[in-house]
Amino acid sequence: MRIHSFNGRELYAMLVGSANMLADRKNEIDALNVFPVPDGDTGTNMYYTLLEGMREARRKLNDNIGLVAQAAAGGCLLGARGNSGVILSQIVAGFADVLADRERATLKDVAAAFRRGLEKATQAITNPVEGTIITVCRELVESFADTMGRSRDLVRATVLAHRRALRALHQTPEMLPVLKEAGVVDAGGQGLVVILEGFIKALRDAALAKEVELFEVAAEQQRQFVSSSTAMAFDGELEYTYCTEFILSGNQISLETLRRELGPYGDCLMVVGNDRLAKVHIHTNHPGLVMECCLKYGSLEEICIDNMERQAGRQHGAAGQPVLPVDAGPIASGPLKPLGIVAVGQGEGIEIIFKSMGADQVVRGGQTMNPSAQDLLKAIEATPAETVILLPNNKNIILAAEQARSLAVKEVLVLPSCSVVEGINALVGLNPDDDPAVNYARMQETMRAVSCGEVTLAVRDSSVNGIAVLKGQFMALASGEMVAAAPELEQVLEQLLAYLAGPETELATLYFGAGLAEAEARSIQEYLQGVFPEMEIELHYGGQPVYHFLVSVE
Amino acid sequence: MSAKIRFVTDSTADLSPEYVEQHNITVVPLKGSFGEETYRDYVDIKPDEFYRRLRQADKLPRTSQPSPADFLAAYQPLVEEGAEIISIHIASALSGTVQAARLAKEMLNYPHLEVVDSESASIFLHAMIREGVRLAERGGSVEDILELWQSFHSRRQVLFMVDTMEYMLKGGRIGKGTAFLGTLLNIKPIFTFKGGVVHPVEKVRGRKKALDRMVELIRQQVGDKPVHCIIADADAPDYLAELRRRVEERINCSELIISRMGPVMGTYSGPGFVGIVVWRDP
Repeated sequence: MRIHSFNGRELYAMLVGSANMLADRKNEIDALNVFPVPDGDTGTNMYYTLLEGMREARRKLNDNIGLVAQAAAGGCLLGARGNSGVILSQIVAGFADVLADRERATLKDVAAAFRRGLEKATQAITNPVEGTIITVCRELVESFADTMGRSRDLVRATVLAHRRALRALHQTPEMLPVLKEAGVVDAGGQGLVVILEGFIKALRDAALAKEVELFEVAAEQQRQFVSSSTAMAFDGELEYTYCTEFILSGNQISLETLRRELGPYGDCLMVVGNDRLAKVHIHTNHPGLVMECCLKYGSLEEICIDNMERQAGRQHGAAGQPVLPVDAGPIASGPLKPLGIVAVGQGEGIEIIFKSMGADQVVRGGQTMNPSAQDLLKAIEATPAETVILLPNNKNIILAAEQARSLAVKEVLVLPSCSVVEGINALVGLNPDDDPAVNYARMQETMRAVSCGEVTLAVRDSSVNGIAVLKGQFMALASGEMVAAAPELEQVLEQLLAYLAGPETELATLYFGAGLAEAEARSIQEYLQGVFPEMEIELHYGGQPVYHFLVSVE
Repeated sequence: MSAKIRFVTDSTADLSPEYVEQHNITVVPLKGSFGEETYRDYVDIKPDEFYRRLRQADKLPRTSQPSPADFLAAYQPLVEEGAEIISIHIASALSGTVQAARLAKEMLNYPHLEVVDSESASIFLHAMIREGVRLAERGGSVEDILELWQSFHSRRQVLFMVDTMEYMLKGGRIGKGTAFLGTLLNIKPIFTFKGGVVHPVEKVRGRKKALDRMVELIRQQVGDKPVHCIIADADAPDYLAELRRRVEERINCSELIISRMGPVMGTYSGPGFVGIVVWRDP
């Protein structure tokens, strides 16, 4: 039951193990929200990030661990979504650095790889905070370092590291008051722990199989799991659109038979459970056929089919050099203008407003759907400009934006806007006649000249900043803090405006969301105009999900 | 006043009748039409009536430049006087008026006629005329005046805003690359003239802030130095009053002239225009 080193194929198997483990538990990680709002989906983001890494690694599948690690890192860097995705991609990049010219990796290499990854991740964040994935990762690195002197066994070292990481994870609420207040552990840290569990499972599966070439078998098994006949013939073009998940309940389910039968329908197949209850996960172009096939063995429930193309907006071209296959989609042709704008936003009205204010590209995404670094990169490349100012418009997208900047050929300036409304107000400062640096400075100024807030439904009971909110009530947030809660929209908006407005305030702008009828929004506007007669209150259709209202005052 | 130099301009300079009379200026009107009904700018229609009808019109009026014949008719009596004529007009980028004047000049073959493209319009053209007239009345020659105008654009600051972009967009008198102006969000863009073309300078949300910002931008350029100043509105007396108050507070004006925008220019700005030009002596 010991493993002293592993090669490229085995590293790939470990990635698959981790991705599957994340797939299984991403919803649980997504639920670790600090605020009772639908939050940036950490689990989903880390999963998609790792999935991209896994796919690139599969394209370069090889005994040489250096090449596989490099491919995985390239995939993760481009696929990185959300802050935790970016951090994860940096950890994987650490592996690529350390394993660059290795055939196989030993415990010493793994320890060094995690340490390098931690360094890179810390560099990527402007102000690393304790009580996050960084803390968990550091404990893990320390643990590997401690074990290294006593043993060469990777399984044992990883189990110990996992234990220590888990302990650190449970301490995150003590380090970060917001976590404690919300009664959760750090979601990114939890993601890292889950990834480690995937590693261990892959290692254990391998170790069980045999002492020496143990991994070949496990890797082969994993390959079968992943995409039965197509794994080796994978040329980089194959693509499955629908992430399909459901629970199958029956009497005598054979997991083996299911795996065999479902294999041809797609990749990333995972069938877990027992003979009465099985969970099926597959990426396929034919979710209907997959479900039909399973109906032979029982009934289906908790069916969930996601269109990953739409979700991630991702696109795969042929894999290029190991460095970074920058697959930029439609490259802008024709003469380049000096300055272009790429903004992230969600909602029909918001997109139109962004475009009316000079955005060349609007990348769909926001609070609950963070675009990947590659999505941003594609939009940058498709913008016919020499320099691009990128507006992430969400705190959890800023790091991915930075990553896109570092990968782009063009000059990119990331204006760290934390909300759609900040992004809109930044564009008030745009004048393409001026050069990019002047625009950047002025956009920063106009962005800061307004205060922003938003209104949404609380997804659970909570008490933050001394304000109690019940599940299903409306709550108002300003700069990430809860500032008001009430059962009616009018009331919560009134409180929010009162909170945001100063004596100089002249103008309040409301952008109403997809869930609201225009007539209803108008009547709320009229009500507020009555309460704040000295302010001009403008109403626009934003069409954004999640937030009933986005608000700015100036 | 110098007996010899005579100024000719066009109605887009928005000169007041008093000023025109006092300084013996010849104004050639541009033309406009509401549907079939055509009118000569300021002659057949005055600003008040024009804006009333503009607000009610479902289609924008059309405008047209004066014909070379109109210019010939304007120049003829001055030629007979033997005057030295300076004919200064709305920017060639905005109108074909200068071209018509040049055609008339060719036909006349009169040596003492200079046709000048002002690269501006309305109060911005108005400002140049004032400077030229002043120099002429102090005994300056045509050459002196042309030389003075050479530096005018580097000595002046020009800013204006409109209540709605609708008229500028419909009228097509705005440079390319204005897609970023964000007409949806009730943004008040501040514009200037550069090389005879309208250029956006900044965008501001809210009218008061826009007025503040215009005066602030002027102040950043001129500081406490004394400047000549003209402000004008297009059917927006409230804006004009607010702008005037801010100018009087913040700008050191050696003269402050209150003007208004006439029918032809108002067609392109729409009601709700307010603008300012300041210039310093060389």
